[in-house]
Amino acid sequence: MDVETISSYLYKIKEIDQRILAVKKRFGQKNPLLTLLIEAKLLTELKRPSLDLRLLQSLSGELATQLYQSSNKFSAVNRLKQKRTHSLYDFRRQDYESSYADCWRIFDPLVCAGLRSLQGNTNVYSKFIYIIGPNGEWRHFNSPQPMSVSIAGRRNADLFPFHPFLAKEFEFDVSAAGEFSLIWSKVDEFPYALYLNNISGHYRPKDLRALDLLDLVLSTNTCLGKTRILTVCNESTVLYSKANQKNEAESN
Amino acid sequence: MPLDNASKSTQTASKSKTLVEPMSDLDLLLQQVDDIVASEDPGVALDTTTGSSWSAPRWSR
Repeated sequence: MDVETISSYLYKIKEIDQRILAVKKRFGQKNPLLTLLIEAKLLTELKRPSLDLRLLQSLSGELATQLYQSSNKFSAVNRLKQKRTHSLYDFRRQDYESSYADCWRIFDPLVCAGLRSLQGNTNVYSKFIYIIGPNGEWRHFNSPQPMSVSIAGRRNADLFPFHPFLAKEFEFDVSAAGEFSLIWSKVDEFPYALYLNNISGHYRPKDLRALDLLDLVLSTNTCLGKTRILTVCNESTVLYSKANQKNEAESN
Repeated sequence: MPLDNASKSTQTASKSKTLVEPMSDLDLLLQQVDDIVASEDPGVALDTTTGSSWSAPRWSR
């Protein structure tokens, strides 16, 4: 397990902060590089053995400002009190047929179900794109998206698999769509940390709340017993941690 | 040691380390950021009006 020592953590945060300053100076207060760096800082924090909830709250707020142009309400939970209901988000089949159907054969073999195939993934800074189907079916591509995609956006279906490719078997209906990253050693039975957002240019699940996404993730993956899970959606962030016994608050 | 020499020494040590050890995932990411910041032409892809790949438009209907 790649557990952070304090010195390693401080070094990484310092390095990231230096880049944040440089990027702001060069490109201003809002740009994809800055988003990526704030996200990297958040993930570095998520890897620490001892969580700093105040810092996580501050960073998730910064990230929400970059991603969603919104303020962000942060909550920490160690259990879900009730089952939540979920909306479905759709993508029109005719749009898929007219623009993406030719690429389907390229990406279909790359679709994975569940998280098990990612055991051994220790790079928390790489992100996978995922959807959760209408009945909780988890689908993602087997390799993470390159950083260039995070920066440049996703405009070329020949090079990058879009979310609708994952949802073809569900008539393009999804309960959630976005990106995730995780750390999972080869020997542990559950991932150490899992981060998810709801960034999807095709589905734009803007009314999906972080607690809804957490519920979906927990109900669709049985391997997340003690995993730290951070969900960032629009105007809310939820940190789920079994060890976080002091924080009983639920987001609204 | 003069400052310049100390700086060169640090740089050499850093390069040697890079040659011996693979870059960490974060180092790799930061290196890519450095390259873009240092580039004279970061490319039209770097959209400074938006914070994310949300810039990919929602499918028009």
